[in-house]
Amino acid sequence: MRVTRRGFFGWTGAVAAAAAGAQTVRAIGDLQAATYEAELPPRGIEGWVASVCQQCPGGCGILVRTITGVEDGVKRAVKIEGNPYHPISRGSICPKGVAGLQALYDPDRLRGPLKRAGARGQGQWQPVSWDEAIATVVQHLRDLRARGEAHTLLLMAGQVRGLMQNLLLRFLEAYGSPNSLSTASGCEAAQQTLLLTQGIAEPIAYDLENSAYILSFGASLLEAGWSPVRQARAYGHLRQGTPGRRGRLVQVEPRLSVTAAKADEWIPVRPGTDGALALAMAHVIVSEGLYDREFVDAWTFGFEDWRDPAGTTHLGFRSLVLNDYRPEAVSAMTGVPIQTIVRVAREFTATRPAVALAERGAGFYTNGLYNRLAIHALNALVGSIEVPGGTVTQRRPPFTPLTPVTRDAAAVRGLAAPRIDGAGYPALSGLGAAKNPLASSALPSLPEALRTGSPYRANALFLYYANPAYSIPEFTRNPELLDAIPFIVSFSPFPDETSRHADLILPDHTYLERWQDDPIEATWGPAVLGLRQPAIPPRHQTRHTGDVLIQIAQGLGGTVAAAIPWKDFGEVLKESFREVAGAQRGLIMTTPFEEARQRRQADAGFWLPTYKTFDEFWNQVAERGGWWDPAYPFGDRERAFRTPSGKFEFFSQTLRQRLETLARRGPASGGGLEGVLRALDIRARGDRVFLPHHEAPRFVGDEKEFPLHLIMSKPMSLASTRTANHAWLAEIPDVRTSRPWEIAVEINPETAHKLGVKDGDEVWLESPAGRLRLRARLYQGIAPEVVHMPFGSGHGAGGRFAEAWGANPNRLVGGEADRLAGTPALFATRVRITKV
Amino acid sequence: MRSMRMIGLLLFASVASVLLVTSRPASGEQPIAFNHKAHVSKGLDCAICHRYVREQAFATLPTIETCLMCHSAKMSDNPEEAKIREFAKRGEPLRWQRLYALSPDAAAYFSHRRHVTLGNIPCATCHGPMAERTTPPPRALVRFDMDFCISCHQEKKVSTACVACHR
Amino acid sequence: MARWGMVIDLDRCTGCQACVVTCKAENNVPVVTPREAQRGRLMLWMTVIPEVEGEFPRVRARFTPRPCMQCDHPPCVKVCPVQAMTKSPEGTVSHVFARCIGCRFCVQACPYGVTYFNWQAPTWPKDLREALNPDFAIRPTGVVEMCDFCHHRLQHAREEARADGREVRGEGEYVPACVQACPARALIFGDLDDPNTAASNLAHSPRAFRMLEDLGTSPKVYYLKEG
Repeated sequence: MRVTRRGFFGWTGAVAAAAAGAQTVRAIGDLQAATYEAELPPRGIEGWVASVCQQCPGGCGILVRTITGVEDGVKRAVKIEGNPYHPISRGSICPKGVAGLQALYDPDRLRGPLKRAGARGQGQWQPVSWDEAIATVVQHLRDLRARGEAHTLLLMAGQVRGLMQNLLLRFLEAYGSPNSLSTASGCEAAQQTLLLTQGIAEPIAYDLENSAYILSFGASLLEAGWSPVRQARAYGHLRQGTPGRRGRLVQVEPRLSVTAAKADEWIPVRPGTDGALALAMAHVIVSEGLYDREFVDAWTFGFEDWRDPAGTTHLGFRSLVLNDYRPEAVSAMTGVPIQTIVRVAREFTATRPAVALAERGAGFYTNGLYNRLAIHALNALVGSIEVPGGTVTQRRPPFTPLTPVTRDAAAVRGLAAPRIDGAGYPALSGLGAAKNPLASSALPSLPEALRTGSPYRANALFLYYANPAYSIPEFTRNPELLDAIPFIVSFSPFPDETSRHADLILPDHTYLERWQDDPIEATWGPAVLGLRQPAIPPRHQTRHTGDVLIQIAQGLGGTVAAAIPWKDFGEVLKESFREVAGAQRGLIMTTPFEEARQRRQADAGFWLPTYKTFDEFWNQVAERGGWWDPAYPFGDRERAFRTPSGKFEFFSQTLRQRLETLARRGPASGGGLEGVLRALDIRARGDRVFLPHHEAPRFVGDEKEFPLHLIMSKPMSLASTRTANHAWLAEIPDVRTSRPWEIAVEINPETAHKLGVKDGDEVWLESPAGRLRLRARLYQGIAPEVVHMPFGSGHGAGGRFAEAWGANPNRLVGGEADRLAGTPALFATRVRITKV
Repeated sequence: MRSMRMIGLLLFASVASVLLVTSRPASGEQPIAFNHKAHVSKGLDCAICHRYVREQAFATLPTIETCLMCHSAKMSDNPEEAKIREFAKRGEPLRWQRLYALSPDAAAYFSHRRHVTLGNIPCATCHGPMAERTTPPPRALVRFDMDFCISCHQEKKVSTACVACHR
Repeated sequence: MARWGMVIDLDRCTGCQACVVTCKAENNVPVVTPREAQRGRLMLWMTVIPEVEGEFPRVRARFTPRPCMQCDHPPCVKVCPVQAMTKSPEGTVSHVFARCIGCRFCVQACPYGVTYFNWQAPTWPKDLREALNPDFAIRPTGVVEMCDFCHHRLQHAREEARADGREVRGEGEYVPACVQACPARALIFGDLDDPNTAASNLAHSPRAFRMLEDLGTSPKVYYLKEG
């Protein structure tokens, strides 16, 4: 008798009542045999591997649980958890970290090197051998060099740091190209803030754990950003970490994001006016005399009006905010009530330590850099720089710099060329032709260069952890721009949008299959060096890009091979860790208790390492997940302030110097400083240019035709462009709406009512650049003139899961940029909504 | 309530009297006619070959490398011993036929470590007189159904909660 | 004997959903397709429920993690005709899949909606099957499944403790996967009967409450109010 389970429902009750009958028992037995098709996953021997996550730039330590099958001997990774020894993650993990398994086991991963078979963008490929693929690259690069066009090789990299970055830059230098481009524009702008105010080209980091008052201007503290695990922990600590004390978090942002929802206070602000709001708060702080006089007097430059050696009087920050940023005027501009401005400013000075965060939200407008300067000025007013609970700068692990590269004639010639994107810092190419005087890399200028072939044609492109055809608006809309480059090599492990336009794909391992160092950047103060090691052997015929680069260099021979003399990446890695072992500081990651003990010893002058030989060091590092140095010298002003004045500069002499140099030598020199300011679209004149001030933001799209502002967020599950192919994350794209596999546009109900749009309606979201068909979701937590979309899904390539869902807001983003910073202005687009 | 629970347990026990041990196909000829007795009598511990029997859920079957620790050079005239080196020479792994395995239908979880190390259960309790065998047995020497497990669990006063084994 | 319970600090929770994903990974909970998801067949043993209150600009949003409440008087156990839903002597409610006949009485009985029915046999692309946890079965079509405080992790912890010849400690040794993952340390787990655990202390805090307490289910999951 075959009994189906469903058929069984009808008499379940009877069974329960008459369960003792033997007949019934047999019936259930049959039922079980007929329908119970459970199975067990392959079982085996358990192991744990300490490694470092790479789902976002956070650099959290992870432990990967592996099972080596008893039947087939195959090692599988079955779970990722946080590494309790790692100081960033301390045993916790975020959803992306757990879902890393779905990157490793993505059914649509590339399984070996591929050569393009069809036209560009068609996605037709033909497998090739590694030897052939590398020989092809070597041949192309050799030809390019022989033609004297070494500088036309472009490297575009996203998330890259540590030795891999060193290796890539070293390769470029030896080869002879100045063109290393970064898709990480957020990091770029954060660096410039410190460059202009403190004279150091490093991103700002925040000592959130010790802060009692966090005033955040659009920072995505509790969504994706830096290390979400560390921030969430810091947040938990702020809330309930110290008995009887509950720290305060204030979020300034046009939308009630997750961070705003969890904040004590949410201050909705009009798009692009964050800087003005910060300056109005500065007005209150200055006029009421609430600032840290000691710090401002001793450690800042340009607060009071000042006189230069030539005798000219210059505008000081005090006069600027007192004259230009009265709360009533700013209130009208920002939409924030006067009493809120005054109250928050007072709170900010009354609670110590307090810190103001200038990240993401405030920085994504055309006035982004000035907004960041204005917000960071608040930190200077309360002396929260390089103090516990204030801003800090990331210390680096003690890697000694590699020996200088010997440049041959071709390299010298190549490196003398200006950068293709006109970025002027660091001045590998001299400031001469710089269009972007502060940027180390200025992607917004690349499309123009590709279109016009000026300053020169790009002849080859390497893509490493970069997917501009998805993540950079102009390339999203016109990936064909890439076709101006005759030879493109992608190192992506996944068949992403940009790789579709490549001629060769040389897939890297995923992060769970490779050796790599991971020094933390821009997260907090202490130096942290994680060791990424393979949890399982590579599943496919992929190859470590470090190894591939070494093989390419060796194929090229000469000074290029000499610059990269290693056998493989593993050798570079071990050499560098050898230096850390010999540096006589820091400790191998361990429990907080053991750490405290070792630190006490160190403070007493005894540095007692747990290892004697390098092998011992290496084994312990591999077991625990890395090395770090908990010591952070707060208050080291000499390290923190490397400006011309040796102080924090309200009036940025660095900016003045750069712009004046540009005015003298640059392409806009005809117009002098005035010409430069016009070219950079800066409206302020006189001393204000060099002081934090509110630059009126520019928006793409006419206000009447496109009445709404589009802003975006990176929800926790979609940190970068790479996690949309994880089904686990697609089920929970946004905790705010909690709708699986859906990306919607959020509208204020009042606005929706005017447009006749109801919750769940399909609408067209349209900007001058393009349009998207989406579901509308009504949300009280968004300003009436603003609409919002999460970024990170809606892929046109990348495998079955990535392509199955979502939408990419970059399709709508117009070509505006913060020209001073050289970063794309992602929130500077106006849109309209129409019902489908 | 208690009687309901008993009925439930009875019901389930009869359902699960479907053997917990899968009857492996009779083709199960072992790659090498291993002599357990000869090895045990030399004082070798089970864990020498079943490496993880004390540490992990699985005892595991030996790989050729384990055999070669002793048998890389000739030790006897036994043709079965010579097979080891032939396998090694061909680079072929030993494909042992597993005789003792839980049926996937039982959705039960068994840990050697729990029973051997923590419970001090002798191997023979579940595996029968394997140590006495001079040739590989064609099938498992003990048939363990759910009654077999439960009676021992009751005797030793360890958990008989369903979730202790089934999941 | 320990009485395991969870405390969820709503003030600390940041709605990151690490608990949700780690639960899916730990317990081989199937992923459903977009179409199935639209039919409300998402399976989330642990989920985070968002709530929004108020009108612009005075809006509040709250995120509430929701595992199985692990009631001391579990309605699901009472209605199960085949004793598939069981409460262990330690008070943990768990479900024996091999025994379930799929009547879904428990789905009806649970006031918290934490039980899920397998409408389809779970399927994974071949590669993704590799990542399944061998400590846990894959459930077939037609059975119910739900959170059991990662019972298999308790057994692992017990194994370790026995190796040292002692009982599992009331705190720290055994935690469900979600608690292990939580970056904000919003989930606290431990023996509610041991006065020395953080969990039992917090369960007695003035901020503590339980969901739908008036139903008399007496859950072992406590929530701590914000503020």
